Amino acid sequence: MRGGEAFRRGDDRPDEAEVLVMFAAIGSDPEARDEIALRFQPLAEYLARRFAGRGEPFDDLVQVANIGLLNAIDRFDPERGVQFSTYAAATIVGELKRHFRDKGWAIRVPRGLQELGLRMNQLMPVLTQKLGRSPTIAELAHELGVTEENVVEAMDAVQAYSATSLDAPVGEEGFAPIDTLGESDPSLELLDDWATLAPAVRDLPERERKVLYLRFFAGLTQSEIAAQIGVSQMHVSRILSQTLERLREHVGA
Amino acid sequence: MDTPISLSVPAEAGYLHVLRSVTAGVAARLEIGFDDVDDLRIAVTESCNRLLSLGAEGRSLTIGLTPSGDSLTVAIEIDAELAGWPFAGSHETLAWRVISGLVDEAHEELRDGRPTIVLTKQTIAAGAR
Repeated sequence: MRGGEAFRRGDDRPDEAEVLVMFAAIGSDPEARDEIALRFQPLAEYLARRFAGRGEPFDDLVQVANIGLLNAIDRFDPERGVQFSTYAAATIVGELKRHFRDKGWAIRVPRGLQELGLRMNQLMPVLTQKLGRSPTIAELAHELGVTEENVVEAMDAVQAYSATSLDAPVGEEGFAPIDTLGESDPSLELLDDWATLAPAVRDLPERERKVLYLRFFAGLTQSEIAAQIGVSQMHVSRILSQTLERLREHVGA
Repeated sequence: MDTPISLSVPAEAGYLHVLRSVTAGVAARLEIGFDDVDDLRIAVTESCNRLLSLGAEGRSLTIGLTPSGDSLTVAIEIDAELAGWPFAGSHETLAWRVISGLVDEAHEELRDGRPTIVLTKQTIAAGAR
């Protein structure tokens, strides 16, 4: 992928002396900070990729890495004699680790279950297509070479992750926009009906409203929604659980 | 095979994950699709929250799971007496729309005077998607 790989090989690693010149310009040139951020963007992406595949969308990780990069630029002290790339890498990795810690993922879920959850995520669409329906837990277990209990544990692990991230702001993860929620769809009135029951429905971020709509009005299964919006079934499950939790808090019902 | 399974936990939100796990564990033994098992878990969570929010002073929640050839029936009850439940209009709520939308059949009843929510999920053979 873009800059990441090249950065690892050092092809486009910015020259450290040049970087120091840019840092010296920060006071007088308002664009210098952005310029440095741009130059080190490949480093942020490279490090974000190292944390990919652990249940967080890659785009989110890049955002987190970029926050780390900006923090590094703001805090870097050229007088100390540390290379900026070294300092930035440490700050970015720190930010990424903190992100996972805040999400409760890394500490709460044993590594084996995380991996099993990820393998399940990958296998689910394959099996769903092959069978023409959602696979049973027994079928998943057989295909993964684990016991049914393991699969159930992994389901719980994913839910545990969801429970700890309820406080996290929702609705900011990037996902492919879908057109299903068109203006002309009569079922939208039903969603309005829901909104009458619970005004909080109207305040939901667009993605959450879409998932609610697709599951409860369009009658799509979790796997179908996953395929449609381009995320995993387990991600849909988390969105559903989180959204319902959120509505419950607002409605008190 | 069709022996009912039941479990009681303290009527506290912190124990709901136990009921979710038991539900998934039992459902795993039936021919129920992963999506449906997951929906059922969410429905169990929502049902428990519904019972906990009744304001009834229940000490425990009991889940009863009855597998049959073509479905799994899950009954969740709170050990509180609540005359007149289910209340009129209680199905015109968001919580109920969610619960009934997640399973093939859902209803509420009083069992020995105790508020109970009964959920049914069909197996693949029975025509569940």
